[in-house]
Amino acid sequence: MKKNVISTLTLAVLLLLMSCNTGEEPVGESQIDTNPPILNNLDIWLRNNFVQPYNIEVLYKWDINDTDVDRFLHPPYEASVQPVAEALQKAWIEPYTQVGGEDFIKKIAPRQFTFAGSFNYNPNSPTITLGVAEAGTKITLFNIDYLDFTNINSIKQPLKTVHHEYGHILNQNVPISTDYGLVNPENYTAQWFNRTDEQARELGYITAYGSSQESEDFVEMVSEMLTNSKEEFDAMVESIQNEEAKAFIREKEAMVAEYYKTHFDIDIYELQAITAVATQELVN
Amino acid sequence: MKKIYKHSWLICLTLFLTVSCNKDDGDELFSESPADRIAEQNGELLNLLLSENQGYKAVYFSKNDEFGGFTYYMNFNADGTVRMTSDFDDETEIQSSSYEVRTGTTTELVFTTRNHIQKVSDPDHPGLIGTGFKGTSVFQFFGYENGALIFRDVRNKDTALLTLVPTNFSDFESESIASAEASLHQRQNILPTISSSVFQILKIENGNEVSNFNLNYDPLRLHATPSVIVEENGVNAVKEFNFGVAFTEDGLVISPALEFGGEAYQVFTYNEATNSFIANVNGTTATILFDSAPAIIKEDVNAIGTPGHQVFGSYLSFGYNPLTSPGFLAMIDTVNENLQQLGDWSYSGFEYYATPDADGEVAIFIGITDMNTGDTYYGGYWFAQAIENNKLYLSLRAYNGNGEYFFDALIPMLLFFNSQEGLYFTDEGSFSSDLFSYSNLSSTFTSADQPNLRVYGLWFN
Repeated sequence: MKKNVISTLTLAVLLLLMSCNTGEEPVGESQIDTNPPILNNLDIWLRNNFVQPYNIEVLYKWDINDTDVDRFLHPPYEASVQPVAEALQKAWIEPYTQVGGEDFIKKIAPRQFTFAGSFNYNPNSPTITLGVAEAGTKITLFNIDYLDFTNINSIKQPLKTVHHEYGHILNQNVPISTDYGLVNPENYTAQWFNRTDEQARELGYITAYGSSQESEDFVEMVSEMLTNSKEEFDAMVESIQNEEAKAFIREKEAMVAEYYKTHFDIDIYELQAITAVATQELVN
Repeated sequence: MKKIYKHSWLICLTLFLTVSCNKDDGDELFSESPADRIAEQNGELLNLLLSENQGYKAVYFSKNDEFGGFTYYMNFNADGTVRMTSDFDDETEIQSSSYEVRTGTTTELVFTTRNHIQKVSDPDHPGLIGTGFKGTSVFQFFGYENGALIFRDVRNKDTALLTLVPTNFSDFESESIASAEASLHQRQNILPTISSSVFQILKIENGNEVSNFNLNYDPLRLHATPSVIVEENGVNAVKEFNFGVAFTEDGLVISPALEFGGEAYQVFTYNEATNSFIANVNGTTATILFDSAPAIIKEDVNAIGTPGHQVFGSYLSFGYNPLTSPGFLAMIDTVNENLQQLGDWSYSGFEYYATPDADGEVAIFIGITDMNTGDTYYGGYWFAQAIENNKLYLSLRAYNGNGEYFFDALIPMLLFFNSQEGLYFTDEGSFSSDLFSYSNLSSTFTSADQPNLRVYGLWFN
């Protein structure tokens, strides 16, 4: 009896629903504007080199909502965009693809880059923000109009930011071991900007910013390893006077290498060798 | 009761289905889809921008309660590019960049890649680090007003204004640059020269009534805070106004308009013969001119010698602030030429110890640097000090050995301090220059004898 009631009700509902359709209004054309935007040569190049192969969008045309609306920023010159995009291609995407496999960047990558031309000054602080990573999906690079492609240190600046932020994205996929933060936690500070990089190294942190907290420490190690050749990195570490600090950094270096090997089957020293050559080749 | 409750869902369903069958064939408010209407709205602005094949002249005040404005010449193309020049600085060559008309908070004109317009949002601008002129790249279209396309900035909604009017040029490429350079040149006319007084007055003549304002123009920000003494309820009070200044080919415009005595003054024309900017409105006249004395003499001088106004320093190494006048800089050049008679010396700055000693005298030590060794020697000079009529009077009484050695070379400087008509003194807020910003109070001294000489510095304590 109960089953009959349910069946009857189901039938009634179906009939009522169908009866509402008069059949007089067929589905028409989409009311959404699907016209393609005006694409210049740069847009086409970015589509061919970033969107199609990697599903990564590079935004350089200004949208006030892409960056902090309270900061005073401006878009880049169009001429600044492709050199920076090529630097990412050569010294970040291609090395990871070569060592991690064809799909590595396709699977784990920020889906969007935003390029801003201006410096991003932090209010009430003597610092600037070089880049921002948001939820593992988007990286914003600032001051791209001020990069000098005849100077390797200038080229390394956005690459350091990208390797740093990409380190965060890898960490969001596979968290780092809590042991990392136990190596030398005593000198982490929010006032990291009062230290020079050299002073931070004497305390066992690879950069001043790396001495802010363990997660930044880890990705600063990644960033420094992947924007310096092994020789350059070793020279930097060996220049540290404090033997204990040197040992801390070597211990953290080993943990970074193990993290890459264990979780991503990447030999970071092989990656380091490739990025070093690629970075050098970017110098005009 | 339980039975009714059990079947209540059935009643609800029936009601729901019955209501859902209500045929909703009301009249459509719009005949077109939202996407089409948005496209049409954007298209209106885009068509206007493209309709002027010789482009637009744009005046942009990014935040008129803090900064002045700049003039741009923009020529929009259908391929999404815009060619542009401006009077922001002397780099006036036309640059091409991208723009879009899109819907944001309303129909917006967005300059999507960098061009002259972004110079006002450059946070690296010397003296305005972190903010620049607080400008934007995104402008909301507010429609027509007096033949101009009006845009605003959502961030500075009450203080930002971008207006576009057709250029009416016959050759955008050449005439836009010439016009930008002409208005950039006008910017120099408001600045004191080596020989002109530093006292800039805004004089308003309305019938028999003449009101003199101190203009208080800040050339870094292109912004003025004029002050005038007005009588209110039988009491004299200082009233302050503020406006930004944008320069034009033949003068300047201010924003907001200056409203005084029932009239509004906005457009000023430069008069080369009198080196002044003049606005005529309904038979009244507002004139920006140089005068030999300030319109209002402040009482700041009375603090000299008290805590906070005891040791003053002005060194070239502090960096440049335009409050040090071109006349004073030229005097330093003269002093340096004089010093060459003595050897490879160069003026570096001075310190003023403003608290009188037991003899009632104050000391000024003028630093002279040996350019071979880098060592600085100080010529010490002692003055009798008096403060009268809101001016500072210093009379040279004595000097030390170094003072004697450098005396002849430093005569122009000593005459500056020893001004017979006294020195005008003004506190200028915290110290800033093209190199540094300090919280120390800064001040200026201006010679009443030679009002082209003004020096800026800071108080150490």
